[in-house]
Amino acid sequence: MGWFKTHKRAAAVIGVCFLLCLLTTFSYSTAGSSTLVGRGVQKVTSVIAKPITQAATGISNFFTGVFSYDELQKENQELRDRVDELEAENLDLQLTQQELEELQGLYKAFDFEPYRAGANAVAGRVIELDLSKPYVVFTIDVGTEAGVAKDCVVVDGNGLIGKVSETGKGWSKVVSVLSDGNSISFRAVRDKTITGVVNGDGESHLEGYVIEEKMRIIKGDQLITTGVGLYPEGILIGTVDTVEYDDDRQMKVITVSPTADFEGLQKVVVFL
Amino acid sequence: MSLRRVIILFAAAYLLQLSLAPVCAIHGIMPGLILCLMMTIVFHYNGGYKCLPVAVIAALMADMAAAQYTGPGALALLLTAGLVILFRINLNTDNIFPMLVTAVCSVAFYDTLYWAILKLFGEPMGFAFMIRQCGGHILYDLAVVAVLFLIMSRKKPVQVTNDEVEVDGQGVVDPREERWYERFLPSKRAKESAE
Repeated sequence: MGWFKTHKRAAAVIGVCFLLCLLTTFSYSTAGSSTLVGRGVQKVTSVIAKPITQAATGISNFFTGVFSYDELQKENQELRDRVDELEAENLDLQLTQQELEELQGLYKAFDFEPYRAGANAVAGRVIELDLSKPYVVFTIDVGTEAGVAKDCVVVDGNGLIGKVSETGKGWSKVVSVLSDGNSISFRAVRDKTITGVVNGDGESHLEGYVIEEKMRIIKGDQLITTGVGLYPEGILIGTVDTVEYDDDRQMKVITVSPTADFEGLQKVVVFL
Repeated sequence: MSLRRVIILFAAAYLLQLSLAPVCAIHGIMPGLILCLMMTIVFHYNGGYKCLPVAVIAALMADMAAAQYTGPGALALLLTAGLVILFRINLNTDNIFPMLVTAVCSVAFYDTLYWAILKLFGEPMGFAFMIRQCGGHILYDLAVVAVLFLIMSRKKPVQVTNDEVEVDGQGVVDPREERWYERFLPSKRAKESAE
């Protein structure tokens, strides 16, 4: 005790380190769920940070536009061409409108799909990223006020993003499929009998295995959710990068690149 | 530096860390504004370590707001501050180059420590991934630290610097005549005033 009295600063630092260790352990033991204080901090921060993020995004977009004028002109031309193509395509599609209406009527008859077209969804903007693990955990600007709840599924235009791990008024924390705690049941688009489970590797890919070892999964296979577990059926997960046979586990092990655009992630859709 | 100014600076760093930094992210790599501010203040100012309680609280709040787990960021920041203090004892605190050397080592130390804490609790993040991220962090943070240092060195009250180095009673020596490595070392008077 005498040492602590004579070295008050060192004792204070050791004490704070010890407290932070305890806090970290507690946070991990509760799987990162926030305390009352954490929720308060999150709420206040999201209110203050949101306008700053929006302003910064606006400025960033402006400068991006200024510096890539030629590129935008080229893209503009490409889009004009694409519009012409789509208008021609639209004419063809109008012919099959009647057939489409029949199919929609048939579709509504099946009432087992929780996230059918027209299901409630809300769009959110990414407002905060975790510095150490970008795109594994991030915060969006919609929360309980919009009906978002824990475990709501989050997607972008390209595929599955993840699920809501925590939510409050005006914010929701999303744990992406890149997190190792997110197990997703999949099947291949090419062959529905190829099924398995993938997990995030905590960095930028997903890893997993195929349930039936004999199934011929190949590089380039697209994977979608099966509907088993949390995620509804039919959402694109990613594309198979590598397929290897693991002698120890006696199963085919795969790595998958997510189809969702994590690096350009700005807006997401949350299924309610 | 007064406590009020320290609080304002860290509050600004905290808010910008969560709002502006993601917008400035390049391939997912963002500057650690709280870390940069802490390194600059602790290194550059005599008694700069007194900002640590505020820095730790800011880091803790950033963990609560943006990270999956609460604590690792603040813990890594506090231990990194120890390294910065070690550097400031042995280097010239008024020159930007020692500041940058300190920043490189401290950011690498912080990232390694953060990774080690996450690994200890079972996160699957690989060492190679951490090293890749660390390279980006170092470059980004160096730029931020350089800017902060230049701003702060203009605002800082006059302290003993290498401009007045007295060697063995031979009078004042022009720093330009010093050997290059001596610029990285604290001057005699700076050492004496610290003692």
